[in-house]
Formats: sequence, C-alpha cells, structure tokens
Amino acid sequence: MDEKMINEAIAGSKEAFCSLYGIYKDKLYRYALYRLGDPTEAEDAVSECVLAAWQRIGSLRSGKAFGSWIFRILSNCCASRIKEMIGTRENLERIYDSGADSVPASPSLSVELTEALSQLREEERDIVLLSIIGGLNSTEISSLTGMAAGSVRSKLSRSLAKMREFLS
Amino acid sequence: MNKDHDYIKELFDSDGIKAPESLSEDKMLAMLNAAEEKQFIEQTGNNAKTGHFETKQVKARPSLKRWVAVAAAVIAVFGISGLMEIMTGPPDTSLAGDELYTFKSEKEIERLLKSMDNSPRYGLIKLGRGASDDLVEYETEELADADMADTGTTGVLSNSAAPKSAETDSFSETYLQVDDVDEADIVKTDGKYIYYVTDGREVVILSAKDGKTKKLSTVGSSGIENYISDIYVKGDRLITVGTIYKDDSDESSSAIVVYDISDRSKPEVLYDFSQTGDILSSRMVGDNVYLVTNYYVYRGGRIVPACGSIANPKELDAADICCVPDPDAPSLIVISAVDVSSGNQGISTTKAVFGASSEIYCNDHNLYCTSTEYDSDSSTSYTRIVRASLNGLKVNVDATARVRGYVNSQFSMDERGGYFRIATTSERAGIEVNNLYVLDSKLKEAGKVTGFARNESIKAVRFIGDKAYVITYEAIDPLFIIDLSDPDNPRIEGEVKIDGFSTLLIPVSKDRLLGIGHATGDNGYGGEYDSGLKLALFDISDPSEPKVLDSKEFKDMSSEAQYDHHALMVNNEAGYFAIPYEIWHNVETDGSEVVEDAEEPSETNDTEEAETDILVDQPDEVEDIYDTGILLFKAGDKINSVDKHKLDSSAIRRSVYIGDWIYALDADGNVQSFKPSL
Repeated sequence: MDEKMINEAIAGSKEAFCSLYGIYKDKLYRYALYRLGDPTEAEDAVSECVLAAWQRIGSLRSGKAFGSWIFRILSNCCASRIKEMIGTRENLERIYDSGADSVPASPSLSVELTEALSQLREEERDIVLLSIIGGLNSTEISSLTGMAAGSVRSKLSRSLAKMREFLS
Repeated sequence: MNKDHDYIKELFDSDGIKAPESLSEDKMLAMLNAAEEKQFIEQTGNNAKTGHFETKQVKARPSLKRWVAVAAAVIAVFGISGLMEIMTGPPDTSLAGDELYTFKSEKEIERLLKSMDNSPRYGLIKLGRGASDDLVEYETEELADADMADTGTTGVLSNSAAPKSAETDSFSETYLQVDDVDEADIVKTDGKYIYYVTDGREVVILSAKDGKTKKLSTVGSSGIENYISDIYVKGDRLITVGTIYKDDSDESSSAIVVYDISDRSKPEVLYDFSQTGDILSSRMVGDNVYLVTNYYVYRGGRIVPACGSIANPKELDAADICCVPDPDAPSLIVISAVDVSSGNQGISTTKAVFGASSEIYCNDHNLYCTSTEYDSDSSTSYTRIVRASLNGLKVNVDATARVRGYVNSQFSMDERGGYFRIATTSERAGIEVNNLYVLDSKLKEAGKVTGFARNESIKAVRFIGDKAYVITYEAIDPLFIIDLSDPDNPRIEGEVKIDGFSTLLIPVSKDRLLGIGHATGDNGYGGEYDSGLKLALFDISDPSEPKVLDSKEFKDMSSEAQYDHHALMVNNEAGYFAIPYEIWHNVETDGSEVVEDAEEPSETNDTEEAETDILVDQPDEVEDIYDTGILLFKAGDKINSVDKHKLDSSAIRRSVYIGDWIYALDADGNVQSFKPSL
C-alpha cells in the first residue's frame, strides 16, 4: 500500500484518493454485486460509497486501515440500499432463495458461487464476502458488524464449510 | 478451515468480474468534483443574504490543524468550560428512563415482527398499536443498600489475586474489568494446569511444572458440532462457551458445556445448556455463568427463543420476554443464568428482551447490555441500554434508557453506589464530541458532562472509584480526569496531552495509571499514521494536574493487548506486566534496535529455549521481517526493566505465569516457557 498516495489523499488530494480507490474498485464492485445481486444497484452503491468516503476522509487513520475503512462504508451503503429497495426481499429471494432453478440477475455473476451463497443467511453471506472478497480479518469484520469476534470466526468457518460441501 | 477458505477464495478469484467503466477512477474524480461544485453553489446561494459560510462536511486534515490551533489559543483565554459554552450548540437532550413492555402472548410478538417486516425500512415502530391497550409498567425493584456495594476495581493491581498454598505456586489470572466477575478467555490456569483453546477450537489441557508442560487431554466437539470460543475453569470443572450448529437446522445457538475434570486426562461431559442466538459475551460469578446472546429473527425462523439442553431446548414463555420502546429491528437479547456447581444438572433461568447488544458491562448484581442505534438519516447515534438485575439464578430485565452517542468498549461503562456511568462519543453538527452520563438506579439521568474533546473520539476509559479517566484522540490526544463524586454534577477536573493514544488504561497504584496503546507519527502531509506500540505512565496524584511520567515507543510493534484486555498478564508479586507482541517490518524502515531507552537485555537462565532478543544481522535483500514474543516491563515511577522476549513460533497470543515461570502460548497451541529475570 502506497503510503504516499494515502497521505496525499488524507491531505485533500482528490486525485490521490481516486487512485487509491482504483486499487480497490474491483473488490468493492464485486462485493456489492454479490451482496445486492444486481449490477445497477451495485454500481450505485459503490458510487455512493466513494462520495461518502471522500466526505469522511478525515476519519481515515492510516494506510493499513484503508481496506477495512472503505469496506465499512460500502457495507453500510449496501445495507441501507437493501432496506430501501421496495420489494427488496423479493429481489434477494429471487436471487438467493429460489435454489437451483434461479437464474442470476447478471450474466457475469458466477452461477455456482451464487447458488452456494444462497445456502447462507444474509449475515453469513456478508461475513464471507467481507473476508474473501474484501480481505478483512475477523477483528475488522467484528467491529464493522458489531458481532463478537468469536462469532465471526465461527460463522465464517461454518459458512465456508457449507459452501464447499455444496460445491463439491 | 483454511482448506475451505482457500478453496472458496480460489473460486471467487476466478469469477472474472471487474468493475465497469462507469466506476473508473476518472468517472469517480469527475463525480467528486461535480459534487463539490454543487455544494459550493448551494452554500453561497443559500447564504448570500447572511454572507456566512457554513461547513456541511468534515474537512480534510490541514484545515483541521488550523482550526485546532485557533481553538488552543482560545482555550488559553477562556478556559475549557468557557470555550465549551461558546462552541456548544443547543443543549443535549439525552433520553433516559424509558419503560419496558412485557409481552402477554406469542401472538403479540408475532404481530410486532410482522409490522417490522412490512415497513419498507426498519423504521421506528410505536408500541401499543395492535398490542394490548394496557402497557405494563415495570417497576424497578428497590434493591437494599447492601446490594449496591461497590464492586469496581478497588485497589492497586487488584485483579491478580495470586492465590498460594503449600501445593501450588502463585499463578496469573485473567485480567478482569470487575473484581470477582470472571470473564471467559482462551486460556486459563489454576497453578498446576494450563487450559488453552487452540485456533482449531479444541481445548488442550496441559500439566505445567518448573517450566515443563505435558499435554494430558483435549476436549472438542462431542457429536454435535460445537465451535468453542472460550472457557472458564473452576475447581474440577471446565466450562466451554461455544456456538452450536445442528445439521437439521440453519439456526445458530450458543451453548455452555460443563465437564468434570477431576481426572485431567479424562474429561467427562456432565451436562450442557444452550440458548438461541449468537454469543455476545458471558461472565461467571461464584457458581453461576451468565450467558448473553443476540438472536436475529429471520423470516421463517423461530419467533420465540428457546433454551435448555442442546438436545431438547424449550421455548420461552411470552411473559419472560419484554420489549424496549421503539425497537429498531427484529432482534432479541437472550440472557441466561446457569448454575454450574458440581452435583447440579445446570439449573437455569432465561429471559429475553427485544433489542440487540454489542457490548456488556457486568458486575455481581447487574448486567447492562448496550447497542448502538442510529436515527433515520444515519447521522446521529444513540446507545440503547438494557439492564437485567442478577441475583444468583434470578434474572430480571428491569430497566432501559437511551443516551446520545456510541460506546468504545466494555470499559466505557461502570456502576458505583447505585449509579450507572457511561462514556460515549456522539455527533454535534457533523463534528464528533464526547460525553459522560450518570444515570440513577432507575436509569434516569442524574448528571452529565457533554461536548468535550471536539473532533476527537474516545479510545480508552477506566473508572476507578469516583473518577473516570478518558483518553480521546484526533489531533490533540489528551487524558481527561472526570470527577464523579457528585453524581448530579460530574465535571472535568484536569487533563494532560500526550502524543499517540492509549486503548487500555490500567491502574498501577493509587497515584499511577498505565496506558497501553498506539504511537503515531506525522506523515508529513498534515496527517498521522500508526507507527507502533506505546506505553505511557501517568501521575494521577493531583487530578487537576495529571502528568506524563514516562513513555516508551516500540516501532512497528502491535499487540493483541491493544484491543483485548485479556491478552494482558499481570504478576503482582514480582511486579511486572507481560503482553504478547508482533513486529512486522521491512528493511526499508530503520531495522535497528526497536526499543528506545531500553534497559540492558535480560538474561534468560535455565530456559528450555535459547532466546535472543536483540535484532541482529539484517538481511541484504529487502524483505518482510516478522517477529513475535512477549514484552515484559515494570511500571513504578518509570517504565523500566523492559524485556522484549522474542520467541520462535507462530503469533504468540497469551502468556500465563506459574511460580517463577512464564508460559507463552501461540495460535497453533504450542507452549514455550522461560524464566524472566526482571
């Protein structure tokens, strides 16, 4: 992680901040896409996250914290999108709860991963995505979700095992 | 677990999904520029008449530093309280002393859940509509004065009781917030044996004597998948706290399993107890374990939480479930008291309350569960407090209240003389401020200090007697001392500034306070970065003028003790502290001796391992260097006898002492021992 770029971003350089964002943009988009199930919603969530993050750049402490910091913001953006989407349960159900016959909303979403994720509860999905796509450790996920770190570890372990069993 | 992790990660990594062109760096830059322009137009347009420029967002650091410099100058003229009056906005209206509602039937709970389900967002649901017309008002029980006895940290280094007998050496105990209220941890010792939960979620029982250890047995899952998170040990009983997964259901529940370990090589299950929900935390007082879980009611999942044996849990009665005003979401806190004394088959009581919890404070007669709630535009935070009185096996959810802001950790709360004190960080006009509320025995507000340390957030709190010690951090990093001797009028007594910030405050003696935390460095761009571990020793003999006596910084070092007080080990007799450490650095940074003002290196005599703790022979090529071990030190009038004791292992997580030996445990469950020569 380029400390110089981070320091410039914290000091107020939009260009440096956007370069930093560029390093993370694939992870951010993929997380939002798997979580929301729809590419338009995912794009909106990421844009919203970038704006919110820039407005709060003063709260970023260090380069090491950038990943968990920006994912916390994105996770909240996704969560409020989920709450605000009219008929949101229907959208997510269509993606995640209808089992083997469901067609993913976006052709680029991996069918097998989507089906494996559908075996999990929403919060278990979030933990898996934060860990695997976001690269956050259990302490970071714990402070982001408010769940005890031990719970995070046990849920992650269990969810990954479930997914693997489903996929093999 | 790692195999599953790698397998799934591999699949995700190869899904070929990339961010679309609409989310490119250039597009985002254009969006940010456009947003700023729009805001400028709005502001200058709206305020054209007054000519007054209002800031709507938190600015980046350089302007903050200028603002802070102005503030510092103003403080010098007006004094702290004067400045607060100038700068504080409309007075804080903290909302305290709300009423709890007890359900009359499962149908009522169902109806409440349905109403949450139908609203497009989890809005605020007013109770009383559709429910019974008579709201039952809970009366708080009048507890006798004897029950209000102060159970805080009373004296110096009071957590290590160092029991001694002819047969056992003195040994370390888990570092606790409240005396005699045990907290579960991944390691326990009773002076003869060490009990340790490995990353693989097994409990390993080892005998330990004169630096030598021997594995005697392990305790793992017994048929049902039990993910053990931590343990208690009492006499000949081992109590595991874990998450239970049943094959036939997706529901997660949490359980304690009690083992008879009179024969340490053959642990036997005595009984178990489970309750719906994910573990939040637990405590043990005497022979009672208090287990607290959060249960989020999923559509299609059970409505009423259940408890009892793992094999056969039973649903709670509606009368054992109550509700806070305006519940935020369909989730419940489940609280059980379980008798784990031998000869008993786990008699228990369970209650539940609507709400959620992320931190708890527990003493021997009250359990406080707190959670953070946000108002509808997510900009203002509140802490919802729910109290359950504890009287052995009797649990009674008896009061609730709400204050502004969010808490930092369990140490943000304390109860003394019947008053509950809580320190929070909240928002005022987009700026962070800090508060301390004092609530009476009915959880109604008695007094408060609000709005201090603007633009900073709380990093550490310790309540000692009638004082609160609070560390906040942003540009200025002060320690505040708040006097709480008059509950109706808490006031800031004194403060002292120090670089970096502590995240754990430890009373060393009545005049000395030790802080473990982070060192920060100037990144040259108007901001700061985490540069390593910091120890700070404060003189608190004059609360109006606290002083920094000494501080030590360790470059690139981090420790689990910075965020989990259980990782701190205290040896009262020998007078030292021990914390596990990790150092990550690459050779581009200064690879020389990392300890400033170090004493001469310790000599480790008669140890099993040959230890070196001076960094030698930096490799020529650039590479990451990792080292781990135990950092030992003493704190009297100075921080001294520092010994960075390097160990060759995977990340050291905990240490315990038995007699003269320290046993260090790593993530894989290996034990190394050495005799410190402090």
